[in-house]
Amino acid sequence: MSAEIKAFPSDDVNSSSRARWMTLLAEAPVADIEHHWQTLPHPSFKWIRRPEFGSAMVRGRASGTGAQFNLGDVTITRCTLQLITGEIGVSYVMGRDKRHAALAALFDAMLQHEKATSEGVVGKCVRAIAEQELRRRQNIARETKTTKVDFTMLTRGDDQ
Amino acid sequence: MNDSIIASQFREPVHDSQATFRALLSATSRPGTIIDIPSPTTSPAPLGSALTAIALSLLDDTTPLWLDAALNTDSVTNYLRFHSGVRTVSDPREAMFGFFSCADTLIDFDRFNRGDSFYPDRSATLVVQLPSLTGGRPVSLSGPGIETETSVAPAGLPEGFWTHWNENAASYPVGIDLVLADQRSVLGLPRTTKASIS
Amino acid sequence: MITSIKGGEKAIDASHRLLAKRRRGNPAIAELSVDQIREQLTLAVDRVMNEGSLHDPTLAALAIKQAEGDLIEAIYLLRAYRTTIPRFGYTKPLETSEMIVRRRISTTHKDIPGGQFLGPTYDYTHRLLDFSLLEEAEDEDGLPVSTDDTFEEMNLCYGAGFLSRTDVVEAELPSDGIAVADLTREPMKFPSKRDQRLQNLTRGDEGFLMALCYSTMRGYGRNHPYVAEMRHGDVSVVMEIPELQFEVGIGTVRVTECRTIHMTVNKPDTPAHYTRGYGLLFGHCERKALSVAIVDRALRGPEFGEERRHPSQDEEFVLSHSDSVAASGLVQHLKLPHYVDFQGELQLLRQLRDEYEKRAGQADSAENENAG
Repeated sequence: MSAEIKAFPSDDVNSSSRARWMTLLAEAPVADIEHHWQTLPHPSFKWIRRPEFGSAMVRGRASGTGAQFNLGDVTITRCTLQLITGEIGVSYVMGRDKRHAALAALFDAMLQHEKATSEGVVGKCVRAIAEQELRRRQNIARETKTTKVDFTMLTRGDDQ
Repeated sequence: MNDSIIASQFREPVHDSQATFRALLSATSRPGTIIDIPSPTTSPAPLGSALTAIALSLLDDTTPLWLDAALNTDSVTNYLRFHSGVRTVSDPREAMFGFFSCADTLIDFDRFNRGDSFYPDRSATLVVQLPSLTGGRPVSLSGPGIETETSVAPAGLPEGFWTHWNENAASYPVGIDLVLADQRSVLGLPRTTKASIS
Repeated sequence: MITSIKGGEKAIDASHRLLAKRRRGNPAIAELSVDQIREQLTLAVDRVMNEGSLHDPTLAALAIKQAEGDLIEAIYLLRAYRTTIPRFGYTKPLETSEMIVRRRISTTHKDIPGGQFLGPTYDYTHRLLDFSLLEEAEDEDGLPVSTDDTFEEMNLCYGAGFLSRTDVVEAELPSDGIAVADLTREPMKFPSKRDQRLQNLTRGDEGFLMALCYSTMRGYGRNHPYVAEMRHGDVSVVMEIPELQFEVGIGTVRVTECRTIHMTVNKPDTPAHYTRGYGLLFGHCERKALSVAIVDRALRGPEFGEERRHPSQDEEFVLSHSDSVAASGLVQHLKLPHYVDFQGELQLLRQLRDEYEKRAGQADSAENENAG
């Protein structure tokens, strides 16, 4: 998950795969998504699956590269909804925040709708969320970099 | 994802699946008794209402499911995957549950896992959709959970079924457990139940 | 035989009320919020999450509050909660090489590619109580932020130099497509496999594992560890969405990863080389990650023809006693009534004493006869 590789591309929303925006909507802080949701017209929708809690077992690999093993569960909230225009929005979001899951599913459905009609308001919001997310990650990296160790070798004694 | 997924499940998922579980528990602990079970708001044809309720209550990602040819459709598998997370398998031996749209192909229990003497509990449970749990040929049942004997007459069972059932019962502790269902109710046939045809 | 005794319901209710009162403490002091615990006691939260085997910082904080800070009780609460929610599936293995790193060190190479970053660590603190924390602190000016404004990707790959040679260091290769053991579904079986061991150790009690690790370093099964790399940071959690059948990131999880290497010379048909130990845990918990990695390696002894001589190398001993929930359950059950067991044993004791006295009496009279 290095900061740049997997973050939402900032310049080209429509060519991005659905998996990418779903990932972004799950990983971004809910406050960011909420903020943009408030600026958008709210579409009518019905629930197919109301937000519900569950878990997923997280796997790791021995030494980071080897055989798989089970590490432990994470809590998840998931939901599915359908816009009045027919698009089905799905979300699986770590943690227990039903609002986050609902907004992520709404954005997922709205982005699909927008892709079909080639308008751009929702995409613009998502692009902004992606930029915020990228900045958040870069800030973590910047903070970490302040603790980079510069080794200085001290040589004692006299070899001559 | 297509429209069939949109078919909704129980109105009250937690309460209704608990009620279904309770009904199945009663049915298997009192073999021969017909017990009503809750209906989901919709069910994906040709999976009947009772089978859908049983699926929603018992199946999840740890219970491999085998479906007979008539049930093995996209609308059924998508519905079940969406609501229960269940994985379907084509090899009956891998299945923990087998669902049948009718009893015609039921005869050969040996295709399914009958458990072994170390783990007889690892056998498969088969759930069979019948036109009706009454009105068929009467048969008398006895065994644990039945005080003396009780008479049942499920319709739509194939010729020779009860003889084959008694072979299954004779192999106790290993063996298959059966749940017979019509649209609204179930009748349990655990491997401990013996039949005598009058 | 178990004989049940009823009664004490009123006493139990009253005990729960007293517990609630003690939990609240002095009502003149503001009540602790779950948010405060989650944000300010993060290392306790991390421990509860990784031994409770459920990543959810808010619930772990709630468990700590409910258990009055008894972390083992909190771990139990979180484990119990996990069993009440459905599991939607298994994730893809975490790609720890793509971590957003918050800390990263190596003890084998000063110049590990990408560099070393101390991040937040107690390692270089003076262990002097900071009395300024007695007062509520004013907000600080903020963190030092790198003045370097051009952002440059950290490229922190694994392995370096000599150690990247697979003939020198054991290559851990993926073996996908085989079922991965899951202790939450199937109990441990012996002889154990590595996936079972790693899951068991991850859930294991930190104190127990640290003591075992310590024992290996003090001569009870020395296994020559070096920390090739310790990293801590955020990793994407990716899973296939069952109804969509494609992979999606569902959030990020903060983890600690410890990769150790151990000189191994025991097999006559292989040249001396390094073998690996591994620890990967939720949250920031380097002491435990190290302990897990070194105990993991100790338990791999049979793979490398090592003799099992010490507790840390005995898989049944280690894996059967690592779980704090299981251990606490059996230990604490000793506080439950054992009235019938005790009466039974008391009867046996009386009988044995009677027999003893009878024998002693006989011996006495025999002695008297001899003397007389």
